[in-house]
Amino acid sequence: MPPKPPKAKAKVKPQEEHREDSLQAVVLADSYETRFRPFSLERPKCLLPLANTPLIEYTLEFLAHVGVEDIFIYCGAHSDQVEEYVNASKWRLPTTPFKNLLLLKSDATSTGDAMRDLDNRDLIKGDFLLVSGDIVSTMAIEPALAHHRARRDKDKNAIMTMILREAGLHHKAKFTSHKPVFVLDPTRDRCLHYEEIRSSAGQTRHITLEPDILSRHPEIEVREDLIDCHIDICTPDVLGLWSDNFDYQSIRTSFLFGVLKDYELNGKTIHTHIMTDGYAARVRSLKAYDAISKDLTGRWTYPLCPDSNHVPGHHYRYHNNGTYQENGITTGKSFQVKGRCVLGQGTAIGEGVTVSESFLGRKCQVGNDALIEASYLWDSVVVGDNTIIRHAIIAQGAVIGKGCTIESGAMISYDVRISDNTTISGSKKITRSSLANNAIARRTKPPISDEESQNDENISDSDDHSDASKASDRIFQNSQASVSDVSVSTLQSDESGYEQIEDRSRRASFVSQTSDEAAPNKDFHVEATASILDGLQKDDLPENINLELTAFRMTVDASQHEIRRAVVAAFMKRIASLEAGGTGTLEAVHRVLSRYRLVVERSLFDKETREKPDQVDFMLCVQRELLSRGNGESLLLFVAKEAYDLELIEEDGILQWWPDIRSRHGDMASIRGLTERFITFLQEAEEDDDESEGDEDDA
Amino acid sequence: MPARMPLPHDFQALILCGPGVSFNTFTSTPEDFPKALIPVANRPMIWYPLDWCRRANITRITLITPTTSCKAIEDALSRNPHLTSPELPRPDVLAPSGLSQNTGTAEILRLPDVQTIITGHFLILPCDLLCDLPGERLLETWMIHAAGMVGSSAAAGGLGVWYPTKSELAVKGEETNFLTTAQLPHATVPSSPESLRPNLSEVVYSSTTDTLNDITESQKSFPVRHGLLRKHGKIRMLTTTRDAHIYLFPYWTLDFINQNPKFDSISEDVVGWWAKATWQDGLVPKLGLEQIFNPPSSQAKGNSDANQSHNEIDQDIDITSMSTTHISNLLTPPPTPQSPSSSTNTKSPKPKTAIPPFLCYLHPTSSSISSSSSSSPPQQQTLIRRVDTTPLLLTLSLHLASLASPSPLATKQKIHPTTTIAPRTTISASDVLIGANTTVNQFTTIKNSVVGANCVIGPNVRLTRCVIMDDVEVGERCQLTGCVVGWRSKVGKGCKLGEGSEVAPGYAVEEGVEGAGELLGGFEGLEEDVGSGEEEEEEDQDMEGDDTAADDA
Repeated sequence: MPPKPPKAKAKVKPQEEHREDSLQAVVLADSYETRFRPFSLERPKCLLPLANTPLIEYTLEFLAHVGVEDIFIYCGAHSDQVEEYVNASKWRLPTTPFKNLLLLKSDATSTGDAMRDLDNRDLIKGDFLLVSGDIVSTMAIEPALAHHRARRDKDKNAIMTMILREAGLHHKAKFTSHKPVFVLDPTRDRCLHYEEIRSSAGQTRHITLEPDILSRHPEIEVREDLIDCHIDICTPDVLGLWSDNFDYQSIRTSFLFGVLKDYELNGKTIHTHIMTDGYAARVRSLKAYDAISKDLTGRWTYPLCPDSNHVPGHHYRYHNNGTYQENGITTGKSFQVKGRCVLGQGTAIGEGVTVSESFLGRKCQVGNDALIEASYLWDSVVVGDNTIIRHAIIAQGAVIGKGCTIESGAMISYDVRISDNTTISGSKKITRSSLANNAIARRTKPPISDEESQNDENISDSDDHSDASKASDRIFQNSQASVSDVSVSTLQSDESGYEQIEDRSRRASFVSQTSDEAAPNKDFHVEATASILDGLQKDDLPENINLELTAFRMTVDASQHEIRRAVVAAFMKRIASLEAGGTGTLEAVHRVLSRYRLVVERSLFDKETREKPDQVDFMLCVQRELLSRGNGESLLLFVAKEAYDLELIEEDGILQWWPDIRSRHGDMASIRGLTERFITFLQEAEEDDDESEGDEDDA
Repeated sequence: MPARMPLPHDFQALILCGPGVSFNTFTSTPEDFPKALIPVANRPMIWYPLDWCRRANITRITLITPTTSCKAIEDALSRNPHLTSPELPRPDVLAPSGLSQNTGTAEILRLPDVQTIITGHFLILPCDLLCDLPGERLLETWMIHAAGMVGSSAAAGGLGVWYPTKSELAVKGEETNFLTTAQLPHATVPSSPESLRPNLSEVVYSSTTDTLNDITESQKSFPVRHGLLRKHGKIRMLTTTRDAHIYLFPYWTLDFINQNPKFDSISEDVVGWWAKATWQDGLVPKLGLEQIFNPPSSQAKGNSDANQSHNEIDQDIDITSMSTTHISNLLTPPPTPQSPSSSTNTKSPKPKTAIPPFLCYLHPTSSSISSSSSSSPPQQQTLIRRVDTTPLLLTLSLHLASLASPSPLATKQKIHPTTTIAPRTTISASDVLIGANTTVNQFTTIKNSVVGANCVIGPNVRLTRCVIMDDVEVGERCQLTGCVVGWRSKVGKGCKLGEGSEVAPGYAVEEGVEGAGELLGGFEGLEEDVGSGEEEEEEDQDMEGDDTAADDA
């Protein structure tokens, strides 16, 4: 029987090899959000100091701790700064635990774009860890990883495991404006539904569970007590799903929600692993920043404490009085320090100063008789005599004059100078960055203090235009009163960067068209697509589908463009599933389009006019939808031809679409190849027509 | 074993002897044979809750029954050998005048007759309960966790029991309840291994699965209020559990029921609204709970019974303050005095009435037991079930028949000594019960069945998974599988009745009838059909059969 054993081994081996693969991790260094303004205007969020250590250090430390070897860091805004920092950091030294540390730059404007970009780059070989670049965690992920692998070996469709930390109801580091609610099947650790409770007014006061969830699972849990710091173990299939669904933007609200909703369709399951020990938090808002900073000094995050000195060159020591101090700190007489503080090297503190519960960076200078309470002073901040600072964040290089009062919640950005005897009220954010002008006028920034953040509209990142007026008079520039040195028009070169940031907070993938859509319609596309697709699959009458769609449109007040997008998305999915079922591509296109031509017709209103904007839009949607398909190029041809044959799209429509800039631009051009000939054919026919028409005119 | 807590000596139990609507084959004549007297494994149903009370040392027991069934129950209590056993407590029988066969359970508690007999905290039991969970442990749990031992000295809470229906004894179509619970705060001290604490949770929503289906059908989804999630971060929703209808109620529940004349059933209305009121603040005044907990003036106090004030005396002692075990409350955020927003918020509803929780003991399934404590020896799974449909009666009777002696529900002598068993019969002794004075003729095979008293089983009969009640004659060559045969009925020669068949009490099945899943002689049929069947004579009356059963391996 000697030949047998090797055979068995050979069988086992590929799997084993698969497991032996080093764990890869993708770090999303940019959260594509605007909660850290004004600070994030000038520096990337992941480099903001948390207890005097740049944020991204904590994430990398976590990854090193859990044994990741390949890391891809996705940079968003200010990628050059991130690159510079990482290249100079200890992670590039020969002692680094990482085999590969690669910075990926892309112009992605949302998490979704970044994921799709990652899919195209084909870097991911096996399961990978997806984390955001702002986590502070000491959790051990091995058990979760083991569960994930066991599940995945059993069922290929178990594509993702989210690692969540159980917490009490009132955990400080919890993100209060969007509370995640997970609906789980505890017997199988499966996530069934995801929703966020937004505390802004006017939202519904319920979360809604599909009847199926209740009827199929004898036991479910609805949990709001989980800290979600976005640590996900993903299979490579996850990237494919991002690519298949071009409209997914964020990990939780669109990807997770969408995949769970489409369970019937593609059968993918997402699981959770709930940890009960280890620290986990995400610096998602300034409130969390405040809370996590205190946890760091309170040693809840051990071994991630200021005196662990993870960053080379740091040498904080824990002193008996509860402070963490570096060497070379000079303090005046009767200097008082209360509570847990962190003081960086070279900081000079004058006489009669009281510092409590605060974080001072390196080389700060605090004048005599100043009072600093629960505040964050980053490096090289100068505070004048008799100044009082409470619950504020003051960024690098800022200079606060004498006798100032900085009230609770104020934020003072890089290199701002505040003249003597100024009072800065709590809601103000002061920056020299010209980008802020417009940007801040649009939305209010969260003050950091706990009490203020209860008032959650502040943290909301949705475009709330009604807020604009209210916000604008809180903006420092507008109130003019007490700035001594605010330059308004430097940094012209960053103007383009500003554009990008603006787009980011919206659903930016189709900048040219969707920028006017209101935020509430965000989910319309997902839901409408699902509902149409459902109809197509059940072979409903086109009238019924149309009726349902119209009703839905009315309730959400969606634009016709959105309708068309949803129709196109659903049709293309249906075609794909027919193809997968063995139907020929041409046949599939024909079946779907001819049977449901009514649905398309009802979304086009330009039959009579000479300009065909709706038909052009329809074709653009098709083209965009097919971008991510393998056979997009041929499908585009089939759809264009079929739509033309069915007279859904008139000749003019096609001919106006083809030269449209949006159709020719960027990625979109990549699938035009095959259709070219069809267009040429049409153009020639058109010319013929013209001629014949001309003839008739003549006659 | 930890020292048992002394039980309050005046703890009283009310056993509701309902009509048994879903049992209609056997309860069509509630005057003669109410549901409470239907035999379950050869003992009248009511024996089980009474015996449970005996084991829990509860002696003040009142059976509440409609007047129509009162006489039959009283007769049985004085005559039935099981119910007259000396160790069993003697219950009082109360037949309130306003009580009919279809009065709601909450309605019953509103009847003046019932209210006068309740003097303190009370326990509600159904008559169809099979439970070998020790009652004293349940009472103890209630006293510790709901009645003011833990937490504030506020009024006592309640406790209910739910059990999973999808266990090994699953029966299709059993009624289920929709239960939503929230985790209790972590225990201050680790609980003892036999404590019920791990299975305890707080009810936040309770209704039947039917109600749930109505909601999901009309709204196409099930809404969960944010308010609930704000209060309880982790809630569990269970759709296949069932309410065992064991409730421990504090005395004030009576006031609560009085305040809300719309309450109809205990499980859905009383518990459901109570549970909701614990987190939905607006409900507190609506349900009149404000008056109960914060009586507006002394005059309102005067209204309430003298009994109650007597009871309140021992309730008002703040036992928590005497405890040496404290836990610091880290979780609540410290108040932030300078915040303007919070001060405006707290202004209005400051004197909020805290509603004591309604706790839920959720009986664990055997699978979850084995996973949680794999080290402990394979213990007998404790049983909590209600018997209110014929399939349940069948399944549970057979289960009881197979129980061995340590279980309090097991029958000591599975085959009664007065039974006459012919030679060459095959009876599997471990899971067959045979009642007194029954005759089993030769060549008969009985497997996993329950045969009542005074029955005659003919020769060459094959009984598999059957329940044969008292005074039944089964003719020769019958093959009965999965049947329930009512008392005083007859099954003719050569019948073949398959899975799910029922024979109504007193009915005579003709010879050679074959069928499965049918109801023979139901109450909708002609009233008395006795004459039609041929009178079978008890032919083979060989009395010299062995006393003990001839086992098969």
